[in-house]
Amino acid sequence: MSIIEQPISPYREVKDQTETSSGERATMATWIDERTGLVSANRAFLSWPVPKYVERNLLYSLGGLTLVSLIYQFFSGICLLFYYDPSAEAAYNSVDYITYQAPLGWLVRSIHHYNASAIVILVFLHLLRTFFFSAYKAPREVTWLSGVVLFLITLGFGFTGYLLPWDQKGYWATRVGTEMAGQVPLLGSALAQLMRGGATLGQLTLNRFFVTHVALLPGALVLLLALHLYQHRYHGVAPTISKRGQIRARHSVPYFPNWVIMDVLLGLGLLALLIYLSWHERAPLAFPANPADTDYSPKPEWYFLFLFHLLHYVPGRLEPFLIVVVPLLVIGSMFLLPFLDTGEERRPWRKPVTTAVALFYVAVIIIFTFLGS
Amino acid sequence: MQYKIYRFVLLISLLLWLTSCAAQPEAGSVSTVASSSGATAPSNTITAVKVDTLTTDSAAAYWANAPVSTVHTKATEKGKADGPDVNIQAAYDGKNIAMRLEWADTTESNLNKAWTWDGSKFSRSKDLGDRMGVLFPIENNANFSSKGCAGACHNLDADPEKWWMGSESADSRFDLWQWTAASSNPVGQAQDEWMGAQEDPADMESATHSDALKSGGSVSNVNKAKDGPAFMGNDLSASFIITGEQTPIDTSKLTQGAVIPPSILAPWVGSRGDVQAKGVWKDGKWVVVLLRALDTGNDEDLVLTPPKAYPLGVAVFDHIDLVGHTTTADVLTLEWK
Repeated sequence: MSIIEQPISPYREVKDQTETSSGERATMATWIDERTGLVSANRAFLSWPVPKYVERNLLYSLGGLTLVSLIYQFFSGICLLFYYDPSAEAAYNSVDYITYQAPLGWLVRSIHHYNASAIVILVFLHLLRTFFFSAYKAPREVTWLSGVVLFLITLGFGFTGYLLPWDQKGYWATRVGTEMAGQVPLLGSALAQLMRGGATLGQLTLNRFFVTHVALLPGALVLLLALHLYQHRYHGVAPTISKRGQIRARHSVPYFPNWVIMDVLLGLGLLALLIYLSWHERAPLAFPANPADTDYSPKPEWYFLFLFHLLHYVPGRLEPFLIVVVPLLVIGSMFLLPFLDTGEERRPWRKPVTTAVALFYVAVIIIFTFLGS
Repeated sequence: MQYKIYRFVLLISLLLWLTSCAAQPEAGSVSTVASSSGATAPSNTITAVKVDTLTTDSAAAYWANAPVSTVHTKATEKGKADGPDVNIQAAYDGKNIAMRLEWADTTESNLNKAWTWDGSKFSRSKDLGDRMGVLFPIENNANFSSKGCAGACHNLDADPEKWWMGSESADSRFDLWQWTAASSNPVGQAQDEWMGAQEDPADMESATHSDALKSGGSVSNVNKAKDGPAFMGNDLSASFIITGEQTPIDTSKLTQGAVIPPSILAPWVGSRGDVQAKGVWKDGKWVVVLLRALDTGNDEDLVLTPPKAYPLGVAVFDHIDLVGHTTTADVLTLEWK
């Protein structure tokens, strides 16, 4: 009889099985586990049974790859913080130092730069996969909703991070972005004031964007990510829509290594791609911001280009409508999706209206992004 | 089957988006112009190409592969005629950078206020030599980066005598490579200078300083009475006199109209001589090659760190003074390939 108090844990059963199978050897792991329960919790986490159809399937690794990508972003961001100076006078010089003088600074900043785009792409693809596989349907509404918010948070990271080098590109893109926010009916001026901290972009704007980028958004991301992953675990993997997958769904495999290995390999592949892109072309740094340079032609980061470019096609008086309606339509549709599409049918080709609307959105985003670039 | 199509579409989307973000052009990119060498470059972007070894030879083979940027120069004085277009190329070899500048000039002006012998006495000409300058900010400079030369030129006063060149504050400096046909070209150099804030409001050139000098440089060729030159060159047809090649003036050897250079030249030794140069006037155009270390190790010089892009401006002085010179109107950008 053990003298250690046994915690009431859902992992208890697994722990006992492990102990039985591995004998009573007093290893470091059992010592730690008896006091913390972490080892058995980890074993239970890794042995989580998943349907066989997720194995070696790129589409089911998009979420895991996004998580790996976020981890890269977190660590590269921390490294950048060692040198970055968030003041309007020194921000540019600090980024210049990171890019051209600090040891491997170019690599870290470039990885951060390219990975920001990779995250947006991966989250977007993950959302598309979830949509086309109807994985948003009950009981996984909260998983879907948290995913949509996480997508918006990644865009928020992009928007706030763009200003931080305090170069011409970031300055003028942010100025346009805050001016667009200022055109929102009723709330516009307050919203723009909140973002800028004043009538124009300055030190307060940089402070706010910096704090949002390194504290508020990461905090929100971690909380929502925890909720998202917990929901994913709680409900399990959504049913597949392919016949082959349904056959394979009769069998399950452990999460580790069967599913994890694909995420790890893809994560290493992504890292290699990021290093290659960084080596091939360092993250750009435009000339320092000059608020007096009214000739500068601003352009937002590519993932906001479609909206920016769409504005070229509407008369000026309709811009506020477009600025509000298009995002509301797209984001609103995403939020309402699981409550509107409540049928049993999961195959997209059997839901032509839902699929057509989504494809229309995707086509608009892709086409106008390319036109804008 | 449909499942495979969806998967294929998703993969293609991933590739397209990755490609689009990797190939995203810079904001504010400019149009391209054709070059004489067949290569093209954005008109305000000078792309330095990597080569093995640099020389000041304007006919070096690697220039055929360097994109040519043709930039227009405008007068600093309102209402004055524009200056010539300048074809600019750049190359670097890991230690040095070379810039090749070519512009039309119908007259070769390689004498600067020279002495002229009229058979009985000397008179000092007011004619100026041709000059060319390349200006870089040493520190990151938002104003210059968006305005180019206009960011360093304070020429808005109605009285040109009150104009001056320099920076707004002492902690912002410019690196100026000034090539002169009369005094720097004969010694194979461009004068390395720097500009800070204006020190004397009454002196429009008080912001401009020559880099440190250990030895060398030119001395004025004037006699004690200051009414003529003290020396003449061994070769009376030459437009310059190099130190060691001068002899005391002997008017008996001069024909009427003989021109005596106003300075005895010697190469600058020290930071002032960091920029090698070779200029040749032929067929109605100047071709000048400037060559300098990327990092001279001198505090008054810009450190060039590829692949960082640098803003710069170019000025052309067609035998004229500071007020009458022409400059590139827009900021130029030096990039690296």
